[in-house]
Amino acid sequence: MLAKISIAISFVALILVSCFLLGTQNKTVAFANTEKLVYSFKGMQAAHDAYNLKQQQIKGELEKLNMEYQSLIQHFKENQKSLSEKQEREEIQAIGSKEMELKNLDEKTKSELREMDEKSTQGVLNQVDALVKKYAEDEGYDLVLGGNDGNILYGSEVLDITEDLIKHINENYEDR
Amino acid sequence: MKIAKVSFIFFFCWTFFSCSSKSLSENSDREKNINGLLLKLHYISPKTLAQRENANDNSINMDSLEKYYSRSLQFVLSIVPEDEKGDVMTSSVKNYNEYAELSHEMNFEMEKMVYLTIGDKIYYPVLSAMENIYGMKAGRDIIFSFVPASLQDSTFYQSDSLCFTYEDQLFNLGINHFTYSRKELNIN
Repeated sequence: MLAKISIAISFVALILVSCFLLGTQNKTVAFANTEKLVYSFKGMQAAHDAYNLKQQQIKGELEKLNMEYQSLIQHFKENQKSLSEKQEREEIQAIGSKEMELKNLDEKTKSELREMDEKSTQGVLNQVDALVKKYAEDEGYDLVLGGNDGNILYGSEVLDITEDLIKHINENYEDR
Repeated sequence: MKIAKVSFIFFFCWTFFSCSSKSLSENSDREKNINGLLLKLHYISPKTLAQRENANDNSINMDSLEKYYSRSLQFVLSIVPEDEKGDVMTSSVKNYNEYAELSHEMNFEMEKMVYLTIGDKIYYPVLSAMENIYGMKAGRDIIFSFVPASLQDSTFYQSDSLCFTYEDQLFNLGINHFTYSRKELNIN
């Protein structure tokens, strides 16, 4: 009887030890290169593309206005001698207001682009955060450290999940 | 032996139908959690729209209503706080001016932030309307309607995949894509 109990106790102990050993082998901490992660993210590329498109549109508008401004100056220079005092005053006024219009548009578009850049970058970072959180929860990580070269002094390659994360966030970027 | 065969067939059918019904219900919605908000996209099928209209006026034939609604595509985009508490309209603003600006953008500027890519063509919504909920819900629903360039626009009706894109400029949610296959839309 005693032998049977000791066998049973040994068996349970063996199971507990095995569970503990298996538990400690689970990856619960990992790290990733944040810069690589963000710049490899498809969403970042899409944000860049949208920004570049907007920049091109704005550049086109500015160039058009600048050409109008230059042609006013050119017209004034060519005809200055033949203009009456009133006409000269009017043309100078038109050039001045066009210059102001150009300056205002330049400032407005710069601020629009800056705002767009800030918002889209923040949007991308929030998307990456959300996707990393989901990955960590699904894969059972308790802690995922983020850093660029130098921020993490040492990390075994086994704990580096940058590539897996890049794969995951890009696969989940377009929701299905 | 016979009982085993019948049990197997029954089990197979049960598994098949339970899986299909699960995928059917899951197919219509797409969800993303970003920055403390839940972004949810729901496709409204022509059948649903027809049923809704039929409930108000049952003199019109259901088939013709369904046919009418199948000429366009309707989606509802919901932006809801993750915990469904508070109000999405006030959670990210600092003052009344910002609130007014956000409200204006959600009412009148959403059309510029949304487009549907079908095949190699891009379609912008012809209609977007924010549901007026009088502050009764934490989130907001915006309905978008897309129509083909013409009734002969085969891309709109036949291309296999559709991608709804929301380029958020209001809540720092980035550019969000929600992809559907034609099959999913036809099922729903």
